[in-house]
Amino acid sequence: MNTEETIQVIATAPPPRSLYQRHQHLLHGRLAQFLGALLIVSSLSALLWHLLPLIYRFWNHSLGQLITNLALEDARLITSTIIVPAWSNLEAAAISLPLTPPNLADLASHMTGAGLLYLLAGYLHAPFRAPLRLLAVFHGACVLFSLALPDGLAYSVEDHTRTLSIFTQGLLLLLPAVMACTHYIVERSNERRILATLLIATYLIAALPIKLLAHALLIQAASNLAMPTLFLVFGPAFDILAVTALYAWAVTWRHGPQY
Amino acid sequence: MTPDQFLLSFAGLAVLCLLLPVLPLLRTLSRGTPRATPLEQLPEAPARVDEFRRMVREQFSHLLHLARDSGPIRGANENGRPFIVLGVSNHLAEQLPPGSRRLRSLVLAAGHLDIPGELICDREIFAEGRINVAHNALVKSALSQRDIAIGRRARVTRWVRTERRLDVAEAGQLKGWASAAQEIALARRVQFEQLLAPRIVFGRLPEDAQRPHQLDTVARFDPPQRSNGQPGNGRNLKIPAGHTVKADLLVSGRLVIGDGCRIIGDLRADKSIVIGQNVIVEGAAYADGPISIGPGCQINGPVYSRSEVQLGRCCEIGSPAHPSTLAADTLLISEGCIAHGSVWALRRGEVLDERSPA
Amino acid sequence: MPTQPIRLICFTAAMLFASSQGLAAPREEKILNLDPLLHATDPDAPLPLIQFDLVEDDAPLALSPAIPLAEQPTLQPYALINEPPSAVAPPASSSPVPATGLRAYLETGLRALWLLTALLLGLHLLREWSRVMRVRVRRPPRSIAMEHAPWPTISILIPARGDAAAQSRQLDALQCCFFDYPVERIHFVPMFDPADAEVISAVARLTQAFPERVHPLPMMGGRNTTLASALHAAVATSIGSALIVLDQEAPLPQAWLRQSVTPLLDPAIGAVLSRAIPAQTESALGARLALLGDQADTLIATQSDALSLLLCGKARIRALRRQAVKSLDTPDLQHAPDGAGIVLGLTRMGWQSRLLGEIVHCGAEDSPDLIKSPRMRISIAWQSMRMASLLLNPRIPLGARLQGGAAFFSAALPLIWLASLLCGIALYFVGAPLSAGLAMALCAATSFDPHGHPGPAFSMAAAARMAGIRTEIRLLPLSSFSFVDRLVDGLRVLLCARLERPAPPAHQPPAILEAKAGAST
Repeated sequence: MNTEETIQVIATAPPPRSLYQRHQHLLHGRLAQFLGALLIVSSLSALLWHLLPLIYRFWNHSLGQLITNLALEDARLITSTIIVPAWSNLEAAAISLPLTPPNLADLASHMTGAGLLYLLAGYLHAPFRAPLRLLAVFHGACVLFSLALPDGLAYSVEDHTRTLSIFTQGLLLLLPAVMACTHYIVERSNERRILATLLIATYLIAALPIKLLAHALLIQAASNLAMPTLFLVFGPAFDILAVTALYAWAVTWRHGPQY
Repeated sequence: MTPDQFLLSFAGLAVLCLLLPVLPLLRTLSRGTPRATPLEQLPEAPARVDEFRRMVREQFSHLLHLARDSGPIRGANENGRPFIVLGVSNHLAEQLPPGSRRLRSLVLAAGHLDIPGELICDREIFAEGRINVAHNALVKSALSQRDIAIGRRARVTRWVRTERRLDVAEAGQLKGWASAAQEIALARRVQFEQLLAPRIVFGRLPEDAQRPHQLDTVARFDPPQRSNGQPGNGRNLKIPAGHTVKADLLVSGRLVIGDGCRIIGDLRADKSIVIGQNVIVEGAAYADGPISIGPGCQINGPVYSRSEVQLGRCCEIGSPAHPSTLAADTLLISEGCIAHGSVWALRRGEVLDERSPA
Repeated sequence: MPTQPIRLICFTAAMLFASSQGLAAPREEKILNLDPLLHATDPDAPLPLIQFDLVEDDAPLALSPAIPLAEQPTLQPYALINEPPSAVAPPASSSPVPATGLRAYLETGLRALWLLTALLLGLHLLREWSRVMRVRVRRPPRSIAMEHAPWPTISILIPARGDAAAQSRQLDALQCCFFDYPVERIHFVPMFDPADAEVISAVARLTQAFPERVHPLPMMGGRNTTLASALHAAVATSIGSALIVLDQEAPLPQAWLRQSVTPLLDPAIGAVLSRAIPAQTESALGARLALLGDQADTLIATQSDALSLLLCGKARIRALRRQAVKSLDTPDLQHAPDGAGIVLGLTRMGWQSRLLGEIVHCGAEDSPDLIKSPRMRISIAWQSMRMASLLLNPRIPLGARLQGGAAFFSAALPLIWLASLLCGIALYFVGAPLSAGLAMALCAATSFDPHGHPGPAFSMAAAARMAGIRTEIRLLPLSSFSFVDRLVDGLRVLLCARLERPAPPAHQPPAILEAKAGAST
């Protein structure tokens, strides 16, 4: 019996452990998860990358179809190539529409609209009131800015839509990495990880032509005074919000029956 | 389709694209405020025990009464779940087909209940008498109004509750929550998670159960000083053997209590606490790091560590009059220890085998 | 296969580089290669409609860069309504306004400011991510409610909220309340207005129900009778070693009392933020969103976030903080109960008290409890900016550096967020849409904390999943509205405070508090 010896062992402080030993339990069972996530990210990125020509084709074709069916005779589809030095080329679809410079009636109507929005926001509840009022103030300030500096807003519809197109494309290509950092850390099922990423990517791909054309039509109808507000609300920020909304849905998927 | 109609369709498509991501949001909003169920309010083991007890009382009391006279009853409840109700003199082994290893029925017994070895019980078991779980069997949950005995290498996976005493033989496993109205006795190499009883005995008690004689303690303890006469930074503190300290000892590093000390106050260390032999602490011991308690110590208050607690032989936590709590991520308890109150191993708890130390 | 992540990183870097250099904007010939079919040589000729069905199958649209672009017409000034449309030329796709010297400087300055704010927001995102990962990986110790412990005697402070009927209803509800705590060790300190007969009778009923365990705290009505200003009197009136402060609409302490007191048994812990989340009365949606934010505040908070929690706008925490500073400044007030007088971790490190003192010293008396987001207070923001230097000081302990970082991030982030957004808008008007879009995207990605503090969506989602309110995560897009709402609210308070400051500060009489107990009965 080595009882006394055992007691001595217990009564002293635990021996110093190395950094790896102290954090070994954190790695336990997670290495496979980590490698799996890495594999998914790489595969999905490669998939999106190799599908890019097809995606470009879809965008161009659908935009062309939409323009044809809407009988927009003065609309043009312009595809520009972004040359990334020493790497590869990306395309960005854009829509060109002629714009009439805003006249005084436009200015007045936009100011009236902003004022109405400000007043109507007062009838809303707390979370929505202040943002809408802020939006009205921003729109009013844009109108005043363009009154003060008529050539201040030097963007065409083509510039506007091209920027939107570039952003959606960037978000699409970064989506697997973004999902790996935000979704994969709370979701353990690999199928659901892939499904959520593909779902959001599909939404981004399918919604881009509609978004571009809707922006172009709205700007044509409301003159380029609406451009900054559209860019602020329905530009890159809207992409982020839409992705977040879908992400928030994917995070709430349940495993098995609720107990 | 004319361009105007197509424009309308396009507007509808754009609105659909706008609304598509927020559809789950709108659905959640329309359902109204949900009942908040934080983790603490999820049905815990005591609530499940109460629920099971109520179900037995409401649904099976008359069946138990019938089985006393007429023998075993088999059936299924309204959900299609099968059950077996045994009389006083029935044995579960007789009701099972030969060679069966798995039992998917709820088992209720009016008398004693013996779970055969190697059997896997997927549902709860209940007995008005004693429950014996033989070696290597696996039981989900067990409730008895008398004693419960868990055999060698047998396992309980969810909860076990007895109105008298619970004995677990060598290398048994108690996953989840175990509670006894009188006493829990765990043999060596038993693994456990949450224990709750007025008296919890770990391993075999020594034959001379009396506490070793307390040394003559020095009443005054002066904190260590630096060479310039200033008090130390309070990072590490070592109480020499045989002292009595009437104070809370709070250090940001290691705290070492020498043999035979008597501390009247709480202990708190950000790193580790090392307590020597035969120390009496009339207070609590908290540490973010490991706590090592030597043999023969007595601690009246709670002992809580975020990493590991090692208990030497013949330690006592709490007292019958004032039960206490021993909680840590990992609990390694030597034989001969007694705890009063609750013992929680948040990750792993084990009774050490002195013959082959882990 | 590993080339894909490398390519992605290259792409990100290239986008950042291009946006900061303005390369990606189609301003130069070699960058933008246009299809000649799409351009009429005569700018006045009718623009052809390109139908892709007619174009040969997927021929690349980019042709030789030698093909000239269409002429770049200048932007016309505002046209009159009756001007014929033929006189209106379409604005060119790339019509950079010639950059004058001032404009170039402005643009460079804006880009530099944008890069700085984006860097800080990125750091914040990284910090939040590491917090979430730490919680996910380490599985923090479960908040256990001890079954058996030497439970201390505690006092429950019941602040006077709402009208007389609501107060008496709350006091009557306490009489038949079930506590998961030894009842004989609970004392009650009800705050009430001595001029209100209905509440006085309710207090009398409570005293009858719990004889010798009710210590009424009468206080005069007025502006200063907030919970924070009354806390000192409440501390003096209360009995026991811990003080439970019911905050606003918090539910009565039935099931969470033992769980809240359990951490206090640890002698190093001075204050416990209970997770009984108060409900907002204004709107149900606001309450649900606040619940999301509160979970993230409390669940994934670490010890270095103590200051962040202290600044997060909870009246109870601010009250405790003030009390702690008072007891530090005037040691004769040290008779405060241990649980209430000391803020998280103060007993461990002396320097924390100095930090707290510095932060709170900037006008604790002129910050009314009406401020919903004290993190927006410019004085606190400046103080915390100063504290950012702690991060880089190698001579102070690591904990102090962490606290400096926490203070900086908790107080200055709304300002950084605003600066980033304003930079984005300004860059848009200056003519750099890619940089502007990146700034807006980053701002949008950090606008999901409904309390008006920049926060990403994933930390909210992770905390809500841990808290078991899974379906509520779907409301995350609406938290952006709440975020902007609270931010605007904070700004308004900030501007009002700035406007009111020039007025000579009238001497405010100190809160008239009756510190003696048992006056009403």
